[in-house]
Amino acid sequence: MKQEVHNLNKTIIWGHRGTGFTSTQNTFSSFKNAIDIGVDGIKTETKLSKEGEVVLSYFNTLKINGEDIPIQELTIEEIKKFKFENNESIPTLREVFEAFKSSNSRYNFDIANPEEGIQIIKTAKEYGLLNHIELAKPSTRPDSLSDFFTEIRNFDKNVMLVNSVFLKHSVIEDKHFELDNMRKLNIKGINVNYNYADFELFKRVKDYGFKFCVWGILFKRSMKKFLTMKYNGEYIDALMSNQPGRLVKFRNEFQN
Amino acid sequence: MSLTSENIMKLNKTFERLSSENEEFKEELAFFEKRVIQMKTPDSDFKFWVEFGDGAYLCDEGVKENAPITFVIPKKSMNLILEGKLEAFDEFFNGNLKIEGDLQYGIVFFDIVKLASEIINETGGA
Repeated sequence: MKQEVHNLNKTIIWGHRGTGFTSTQNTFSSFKNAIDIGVDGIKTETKLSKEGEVVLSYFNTLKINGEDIPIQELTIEEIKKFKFENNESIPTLREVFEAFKSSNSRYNFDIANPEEGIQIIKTAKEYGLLNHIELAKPSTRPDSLSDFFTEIRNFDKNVMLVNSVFLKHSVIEDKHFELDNMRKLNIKGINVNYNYADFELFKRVKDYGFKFCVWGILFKRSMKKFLTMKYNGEYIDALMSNQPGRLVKFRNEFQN
Repeated sequence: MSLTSENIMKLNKTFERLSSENEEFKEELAFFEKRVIQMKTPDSDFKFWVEFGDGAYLCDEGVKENAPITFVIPKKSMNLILEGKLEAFDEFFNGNLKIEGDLQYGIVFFDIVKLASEIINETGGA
């Protein structure tokens, strides 16, 4: 079993949809590759099937007989007929939890609505993995935190929630954090795109008492910049990349 | 060709040259599979394409057949983004930038442009 880096003052590394650009995203093999190369967790998107089962997919619709059908109108059997270029099918949350339950892997899910979040919580509880999951408001959603998370927080008081700041806010002001809602809903983390992240923002977020997470890192210079950034003796809490293998390698180099 | 179109191609050709002259830029481009993005402008006939990945950045005016990603964006916006004076996400959420195809890989183009601009600012070219 891997050591849990969040207890060791090291930055958690999320592999985006598995190993990001280096394999077929959101497939079982990509998740396995990511865990094998040493990421601490998988960050991906979820959808609900017609039966209400959680599947791990970025797609809102699948093409069936030339027609785009919303995933929530398809059964698991129908969803499984869709094949990626490597001939794998869209994995269900249960399959992934089952396969990696001994790996100590963490999961961060960009959810589309509260129903998805609640179903993820129920499934995680079945597997004893509630402490291994985080639910995030996607950075493409302009919704208020209150609209997005209240139902989920009412359903479960403990699940970790993350606020991905709406991407339109390239200059991130305090009002974009919705600090009152974050405290009221016990939202633990703030997630920002790496182009808009810097030391001053890191410091502000930590001073407000939240975890600071940065997503989208691609290049060595930005990996080095964020892996070596420290405030009050602590590194940035989490980094997400589409090249997680490089990020793991550089973490081993830059964080001892 | 208008001044804006000329400037867009001039900037792109600078990035192309950088990919053959600067080791860091070349190395970063090697981490991506080759992808083509077709650029169209809704306010003129000006079109160009960019191909990045496998260690190279290539571009030219006109149309590249079967490009898997297409951007539709006003010339002025593209010019300002390439000059680092406008955020691509702002244009995307304002509805001025439309991306057809793989959105995620499309967005990488703007990351690559920012990296190229940073390197040029630091090195004065390559």
